[in-house]
Amino acid sequence: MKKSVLIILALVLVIASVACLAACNKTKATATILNIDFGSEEYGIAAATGNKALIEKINEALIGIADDAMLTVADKFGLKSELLIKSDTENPISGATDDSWKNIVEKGKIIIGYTVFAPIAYTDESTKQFTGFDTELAREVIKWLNNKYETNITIEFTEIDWDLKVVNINKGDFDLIWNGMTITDEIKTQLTVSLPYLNNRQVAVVRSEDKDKYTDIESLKSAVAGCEKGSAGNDVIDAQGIGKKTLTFADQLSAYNQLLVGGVDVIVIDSIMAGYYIANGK
Amino acid sequence: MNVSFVLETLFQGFGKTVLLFVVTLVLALPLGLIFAFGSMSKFKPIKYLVKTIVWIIRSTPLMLQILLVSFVPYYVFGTYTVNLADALKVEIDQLMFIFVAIAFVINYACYFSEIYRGAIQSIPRGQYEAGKVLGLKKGQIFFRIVLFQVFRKILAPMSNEIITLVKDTALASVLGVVDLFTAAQNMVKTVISLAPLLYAGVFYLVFNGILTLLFGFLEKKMAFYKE
Repeated sequence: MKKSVLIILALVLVIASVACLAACNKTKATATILNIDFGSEEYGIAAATGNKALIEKINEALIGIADDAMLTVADKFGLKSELLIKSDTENPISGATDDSWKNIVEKGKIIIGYTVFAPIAYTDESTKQFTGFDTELAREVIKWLNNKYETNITIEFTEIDWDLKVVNINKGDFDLIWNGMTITDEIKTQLTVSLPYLNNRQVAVVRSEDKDKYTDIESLKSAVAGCEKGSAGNDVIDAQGIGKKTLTFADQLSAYNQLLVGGVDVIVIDSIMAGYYIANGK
Repeated sequence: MNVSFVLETLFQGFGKTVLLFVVTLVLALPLGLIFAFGSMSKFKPIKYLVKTIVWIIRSTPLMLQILLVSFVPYYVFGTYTVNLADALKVEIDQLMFIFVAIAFVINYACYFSEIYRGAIQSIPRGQYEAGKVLGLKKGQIFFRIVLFQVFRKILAPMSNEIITLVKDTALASVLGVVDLFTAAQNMVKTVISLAPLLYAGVFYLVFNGILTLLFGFLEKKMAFYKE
């Protein structure tokens, strides 16, 4: 028995080291963002249909911290230049009479739905703290509201299924979608959306060695394209006719990893994430 | 909601699901038998090698294995997947499907091998000895006496694994393969209704229902043989 365990362990070690040698010995491909303009889009925070009072308060707080806490948070994640709200921005909603804000105050708790993606909402590897631009911004907004309205609201972050976000928020599973959500006409008809707070562009990313091969949209039409399923990048690929084939993945990082190993030639993802992956990829 | 459009998309996904199911079954059933022989081998190195492989594959998530297969061309052979697809003269999505199928076949072969092994080892030694006394060769004993009993014994546990396999095909989406479940998820976002998921549930139910009937039929056919 002892002998067999030893043999198994030895074999595992051999296999593991062979796999590691094969994998680690190679310098990983690097990626480059192409200089092609696909237009830009804006991120917003959303509540269920009709929950205007809640979004009115969120807007108010975003404007309230625009010159102050929002700058600090954006600076921390290198997103200062992408901010959209100023202290003189006007709140498009006023005097909403529904119960959504009152209910939150009574509950003393607001549930914010997120999915994990850096630098928007993630756990920092060195501090082990749950952080990210949207995470920190949400904390500042609720802090500001608690101060102003003398409420005692705590935040509960809950991980959501992004594909089912519209259905689930409208049946009351959580109060807000606050997760780098691109504002689209479709979303605006299905949910109540806040002021746009962050600017984001869709960018095409290729392997660095291919950057001279793909210079314009025309040249990208013969490449294999990749993106996150149902993302804004997916829409760009469809609208521009990029890629002779398109593969869709569960998230943007999966698409990025497939780009590096050559599963796809070009991916269209958020500029915010592309910059973060390229800077932090190991 | 455009029901015929939703159903059409679901049928396309269903095609991928059935294809993956059939490919996995056709290749993993014999491969599993080979693994089973390997893990019972009298030659120790082969025995421990196969046992280690079965241990690793059964102990790690299938999704991880699918991803690892897709990373092999680059990290082991230094070839980009797109170039490999060109060299093999297949489309990239077909190659991704092949990656998924490879992971599925290896994974299920390991599970099947343990089912085979359990069944083969449950055949009393006396039957082998009786065969020997009657002058049968080893192969004859296995194919004429043991195999049929093994087949009967594996039916129930196999039906479990095979029904799980139908539902596991949803994991193919990690490499961008649009199977039935992924197609349903895509439709949920298009029509903003949960109905496509329910429809997909019905597809699975009917498909597995047919498999269950088939296994029931096989079990009845085998029932004349009582121990």
